[in-house]
Amino acid sequence: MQIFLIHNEGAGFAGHLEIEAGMSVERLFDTELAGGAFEDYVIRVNRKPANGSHVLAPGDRVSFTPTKIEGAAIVGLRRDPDELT
Amino acid sequence: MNSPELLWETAEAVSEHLKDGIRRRRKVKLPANRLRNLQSLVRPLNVARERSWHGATAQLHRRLMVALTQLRETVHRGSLPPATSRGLTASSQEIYEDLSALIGEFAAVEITPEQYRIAVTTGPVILNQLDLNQLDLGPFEIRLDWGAIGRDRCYRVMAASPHPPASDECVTHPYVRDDLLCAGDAEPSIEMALQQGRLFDFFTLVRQLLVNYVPGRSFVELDEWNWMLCEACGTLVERRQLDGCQRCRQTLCVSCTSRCAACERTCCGSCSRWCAICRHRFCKGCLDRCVRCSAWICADCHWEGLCTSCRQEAVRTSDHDVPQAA
Repeated sequence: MQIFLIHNEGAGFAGHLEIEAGMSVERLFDTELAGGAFEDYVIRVNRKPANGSHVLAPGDRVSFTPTKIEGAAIVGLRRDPDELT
Repeated sequence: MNSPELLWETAEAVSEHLKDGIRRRRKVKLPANRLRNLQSLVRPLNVARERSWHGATAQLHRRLMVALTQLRETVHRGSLPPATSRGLTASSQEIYEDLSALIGEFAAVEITPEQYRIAVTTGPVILNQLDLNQLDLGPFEIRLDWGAIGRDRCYRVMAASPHPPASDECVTHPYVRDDLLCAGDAEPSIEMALQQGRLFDFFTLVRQLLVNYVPGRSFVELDEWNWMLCEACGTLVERRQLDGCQRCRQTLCVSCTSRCAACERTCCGSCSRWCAICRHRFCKGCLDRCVRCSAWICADCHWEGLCTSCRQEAVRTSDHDVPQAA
């Protein structure tokens, strides 16, 4: 069956995916984000919070968003005026 | 009121705009404005350093670092592969469902089609860091100008009740300066969500950034948020290391204060002086001027309006004038 998967890991992904019927959210996570810790993600199915045991249906929209996304990837200001770099 | 008709009207308009956007491609631009901004700060900084204007030097250096940060961010964004919708632009129906879901997700949702704008308000953003107290920055409005999707900076993040640090009043959140979010690792995902019209993902992703703090990557770090500026030297110091002049009420670091040797009040450099004779530090209230040489002298070194040196000179002069006994 086909679902729409969105994850915001790295460069991110958004697209249709063929999965086996009756797959759970947690199984999908283990397949697509192997190595990640399930509890470190906000999981939504069709824009609503979902847990790992939720069984996916055709056309479902699934998103995995890391809870700890790091903004501002630039080093903050230094206090020493002599250090410009 | 966000009626279903309003949501649908907006969804269709956003969908049309995104389809037009696919046909337009963002032009490549060099960050000329950022470079000019950076260059404009170098000369005044060098002047301040040459003249030992420490407060001005510290402030200009901070502004220079911000300008450098903004330049590096612009270069970084330009180096990312262009985000494309890959034929996955959301339909009007999907955008409508996104807008409907936003209403249940955020404290407030405001849609103004005539301004091509969708704005949501988060709950209070409360940040924690290890054993520090919580920092409550209050709610933030995430304002998307969807007519500008496909151009730089189509959204702003505005604090409802700004609580900036003393070091930079333009910073309202560790990742937000001048109402612009520095999205860091989330930049590609945010860009893709916008270009694909996944508005629910966009707003929830931005909120996720706001409510999570990771030290070491901020405009102002959380542990420095409540630091204050010394008004004399411009250095940032923790509140507990601050002192103040008890005469002029300036906020000062301990290095810029001295204690009067007579009344023991703490004073800044402008409100205190060295006694010219004993070389102890006194507040101006505990000093007087020698009427002869105008030196600042304390009470112990003061005798009938004269400093001890002038007093001794006066005594020697009067001795010479004393007529010899017959």
